[in-house]
Amino acid sequence: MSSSFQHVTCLGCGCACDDIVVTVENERIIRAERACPLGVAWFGDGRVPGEIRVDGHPSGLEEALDGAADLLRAARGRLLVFLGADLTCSAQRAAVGIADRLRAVTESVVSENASAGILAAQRRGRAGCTLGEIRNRADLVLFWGTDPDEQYPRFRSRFTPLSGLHLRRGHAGRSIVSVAIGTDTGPAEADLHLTLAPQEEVAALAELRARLLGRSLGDPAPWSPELAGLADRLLRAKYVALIHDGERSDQQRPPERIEALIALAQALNGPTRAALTSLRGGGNRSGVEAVLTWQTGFPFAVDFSRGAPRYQPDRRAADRLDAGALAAALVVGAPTSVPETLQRGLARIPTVVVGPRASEAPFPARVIIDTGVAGIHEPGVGYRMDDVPLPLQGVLPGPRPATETLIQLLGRLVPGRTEVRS
Amino acid sequence: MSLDLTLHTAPAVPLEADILTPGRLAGLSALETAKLTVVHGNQSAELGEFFRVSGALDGEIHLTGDLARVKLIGAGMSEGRIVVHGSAGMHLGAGMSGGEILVEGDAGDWVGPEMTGGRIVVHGNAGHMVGAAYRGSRVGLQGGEIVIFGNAGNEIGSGMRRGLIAIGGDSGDFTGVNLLAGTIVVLGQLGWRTGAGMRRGTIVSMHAAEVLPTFSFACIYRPIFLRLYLPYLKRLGLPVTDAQARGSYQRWCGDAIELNRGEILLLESGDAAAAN
Amino acid sequence: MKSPERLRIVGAAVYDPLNGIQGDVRDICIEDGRIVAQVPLGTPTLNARGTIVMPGGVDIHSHVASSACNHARRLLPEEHTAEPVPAPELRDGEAPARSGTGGTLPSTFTTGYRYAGLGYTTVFDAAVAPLTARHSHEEFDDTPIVDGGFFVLLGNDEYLLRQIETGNPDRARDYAAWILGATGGYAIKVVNPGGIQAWKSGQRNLTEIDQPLGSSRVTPRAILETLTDAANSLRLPHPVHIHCNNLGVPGNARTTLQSMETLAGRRAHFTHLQFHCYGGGAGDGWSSAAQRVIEYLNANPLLSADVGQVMFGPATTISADAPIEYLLHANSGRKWTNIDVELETGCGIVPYSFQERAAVSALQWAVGLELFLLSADPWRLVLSTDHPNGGSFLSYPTLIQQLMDRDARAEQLKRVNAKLLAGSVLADGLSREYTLNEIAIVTRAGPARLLGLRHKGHLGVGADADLTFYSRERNIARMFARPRYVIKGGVLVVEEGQLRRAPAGRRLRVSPGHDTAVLRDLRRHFNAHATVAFENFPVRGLRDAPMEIG
Repeated sequence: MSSSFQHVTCLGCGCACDDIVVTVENERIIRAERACPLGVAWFGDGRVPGEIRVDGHPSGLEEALDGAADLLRAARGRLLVFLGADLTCSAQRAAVGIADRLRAVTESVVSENASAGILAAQRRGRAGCTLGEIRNRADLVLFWGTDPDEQYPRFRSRFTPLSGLHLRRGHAGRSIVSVAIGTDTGPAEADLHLTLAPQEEVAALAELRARLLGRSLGDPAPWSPELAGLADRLLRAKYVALIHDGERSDQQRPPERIEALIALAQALNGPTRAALTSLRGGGNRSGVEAVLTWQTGFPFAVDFSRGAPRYQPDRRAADRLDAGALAAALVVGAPTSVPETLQRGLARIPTVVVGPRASEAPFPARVIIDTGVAGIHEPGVGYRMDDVPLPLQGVLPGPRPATETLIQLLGRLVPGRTEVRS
Repeated sequence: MSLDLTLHTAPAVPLEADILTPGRLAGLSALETAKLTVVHGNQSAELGEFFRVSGALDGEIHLTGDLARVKLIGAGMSEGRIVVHGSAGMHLGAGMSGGEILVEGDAGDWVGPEMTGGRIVVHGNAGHMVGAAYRGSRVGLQGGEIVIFGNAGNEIGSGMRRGLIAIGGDSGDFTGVNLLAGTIVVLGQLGWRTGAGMRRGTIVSMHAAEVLPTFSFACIYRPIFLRLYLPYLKRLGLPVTDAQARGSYQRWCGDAIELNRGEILLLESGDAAAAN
Repeated sequence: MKSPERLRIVGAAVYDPLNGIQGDVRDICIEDGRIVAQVPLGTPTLNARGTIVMPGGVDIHSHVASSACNHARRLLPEEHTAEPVPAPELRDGEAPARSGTGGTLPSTFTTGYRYAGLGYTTVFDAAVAPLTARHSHEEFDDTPIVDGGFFVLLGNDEYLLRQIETGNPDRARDYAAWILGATGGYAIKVVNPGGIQAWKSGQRNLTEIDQPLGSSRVTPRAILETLTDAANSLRLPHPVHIHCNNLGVPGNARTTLQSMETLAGRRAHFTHLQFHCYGGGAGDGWSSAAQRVIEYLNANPLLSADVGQVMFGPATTISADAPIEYLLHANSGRKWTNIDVELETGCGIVPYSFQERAAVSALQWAVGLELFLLSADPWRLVLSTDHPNGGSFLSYPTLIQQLMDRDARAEQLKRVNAKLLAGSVLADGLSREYTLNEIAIVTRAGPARLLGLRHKGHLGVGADADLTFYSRERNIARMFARPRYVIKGGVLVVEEGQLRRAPAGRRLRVSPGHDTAVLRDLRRHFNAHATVAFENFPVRGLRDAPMEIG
């Protein structure tokens, strides 16, 4: 007997498509309609292990929680709480509560590029929009060194289709500009193509911004006529959507380009309207940033070791592990979302893993508790890459839910209490 | 007479020692000082577990030992003097508003971030982010002086608004990034992207440097203010020559995509053409 | 000691304006979180001699729990770095408290603890984009102690504007009802009617109340009337909450008065009124028009307002009024975040500070005080700083002092740049001093009544047991900054000035009935233009039931 779930939200990437129809039969997912290949892979058949292990031996939940609490409390030195992928916001909130209680250092699923983007936006602010504004208003979409099709397969069809509420009908409604930078190409089909070498990127962005502000810069570069053309197009548009990949890039592209992109998008709001979108990955990583921000004031790299949140974006956990400065770790969420540099370090310290497929962690862990996956087994809230919150459904029964498990763990870390009111 | 702390046990993990300022230790005996709390890892510990304390504070604190893992020495201090006979850890003199810190060895990253006054002198090398703004913050150094005799890393003086930073050796990339005002002097080589985003202020180097395309060449001249600044740095012990103090400099104006009132001054040198 | 379920409080001088009590010393009895007429002998007693007691504070307009707030927090790491806030030490046996950070927009736990520490027990977030409503609910879940709710942003949204364009006020009303129920909101908020849509469409802004949006028939006047009628016809507990066009612009009093006149004879609430009371104009400088506006408000009993007082010091401007935030960024050079929200609204954030030496800041401060001091009815002109736009809620005690103590006011006046204060009634010497009773009205009883919260803002039988006890002190700012006791829902949360318990607060929301025919039309609209599924839009699983309407 099969059953169908409508309007399911996929966390395969930051698009968080919420129009997926999931069909379930015999406790497996057999179909995920409208999901792209990434989404199909993310849903899988929905089966996850349901194990609990302490020092390699099967265990009951109570003993595992006791063991985890003992391990974390006994550590002499700083603790790490890693906020991984595929958790609902309520699980993330509980995990941050544990980090607060333990005075831990936190780390989360945030790439180098994404961190650079966050820091640049803190220095300058940013001009952004929710994804529907691109769809409804952007008569010029500038793909800057990215073709979303590979990593965000439904982005273009959902957010830059031919028509939009405020656009003129047909091809005249929306122009696409595709800028290739090094090995990062834009979409093949575009109304205008430009190519830049990675070392030219920042200078080109500066020249574009200067033209928009009516300033002149030194001597013209060889690509200046093309940029002049692009600048004209930008100025004639009613709403420019700048799209870049907030996660990945050609290694040769300098990190300061992100701040230059932000500055360009902001500057465009003088003569016209514009918004910069940073494509972000899946697993509800945008949820982690939202939760950390409202609970602590900082979106990542939060250090609780002095009893209140401190911001340490320059001190990454991998460095601390190498320096021997971390004594134990709690990984919450999918352990495969822990970056490799960190995984190597985790092998050297006692680690607890609570999350989906914890028992398949690619690094050794002393206490392992498998939970369900947010949006497949566990209902709740997940965030799209543009910070729009969406409901998550449970389409299959899973092993114990992450949120409740973490709340119980928190209860054991509070002296004199075995249960905590949530 | 001074308060002397000698490291007898190296901390296993970084020690946060922001209590080590003349202001916070004023009026305490050596015994009381040894009992003060420092943060070691995620535990509290007593200062005496790491340092032997003797003497009495008369405005000067002397720290002896390899203190590369001791962070926040002199943070927030407003008066007095700290001398480190050895190396110092990160965040030296963070946010200080007065007084002086002297380090005989090297210093870590983040020397004097967001300082508003006073002076820090490091005889060895320093790390990245000398006199810099903290993450998310737009304004860094707001007053005071930082002198590094050796080399320094990237993003020196980021967001600086006022004050002086002098580097005897080389600096890394992004020297003076987003400079609001103030002066940075580098006697050695500059790295890449010097002055990116600067609004006002002056960056001086004694060597040729690659300048961003958003800077434009203005002229060659002999800046009068350098005839005061450079001899001052020489008096502080930096290897400044008279030729440099009285020399001719290329003046580059930028950053054109910001306010464009900043300048990079490069000593005009006869044998190496300025690369640009 | 667990907080008792029954409590008798003795010895406090009671200020309960709704019930006409102005300083009598009376017992107050509490049972099961409510005020009751009596409790049995032997009930635990709290000795509150030497204090005055008022109902818990009600903040009618604040920015504390929303997607926009979170964008603002993200923009201000330097403020959070400067103010780490360790977890308060609660009594043994309580759930662990949480650490956080302060600044103008504190993290959520710190926000709840601080409001409670000031004696505020109910707080409304004044501006939530419907698309992000579930974010607000999550933030409120992490904002302890206070009962909370929010106002949903309408008035620049595509669906509503289309109903106005096609002359369909009934549909507009049903839509507003649906939005409130679907989002779990409490009231309708209008910000810069039509102006945010203009900002997104390339028209930049709307500056005249009859200026059309593009080529449509939609004008700010039409939007105001449609939403006001909708709110009143739905008999919502709080009327439409209006942020007029032209906020912060010299000469805007004209727009404000036109907006009020257009709604004459109808219930309507005008928010942060101070920012909308300027005389002068382009080329003509700035002046205060507070007197003109307050006279109109005084004479029209169906209108109400909160002041939006400016207090000197750091602030963060955070508003759906994106075009004005852009201008503030362009003029001040400060960093700036702008987020356009699809189909609905916008958001602009610029950190700011109000300086005594800046003539415009000084004028703004004066205008707010003029409104307070010239107001004839404290029930209809209540206290707010539009936190954090005009200043942090932590400045309320200082503001109260300036209202109650004309010497304190005069001291502040001496320190400000008086360049624009010629002709200001304040500068001429307004000697009125607010009484304790009036303070109790503008900070509790008045807001509760304007919000239609029948069980809040008073201490009669049946009221929620939210009480604040202040020790009498000559220094009014100190008195109001550190209540001696605060009781929330019958739980003693502050004892001897210390936060000792942090129970969860409730969500205040409404779910008005509506013609279900609107759902078909809305589904079509979502299918055509939205990027979230219609079925996923409503927030489900809210723990607290909606309030009864009518």
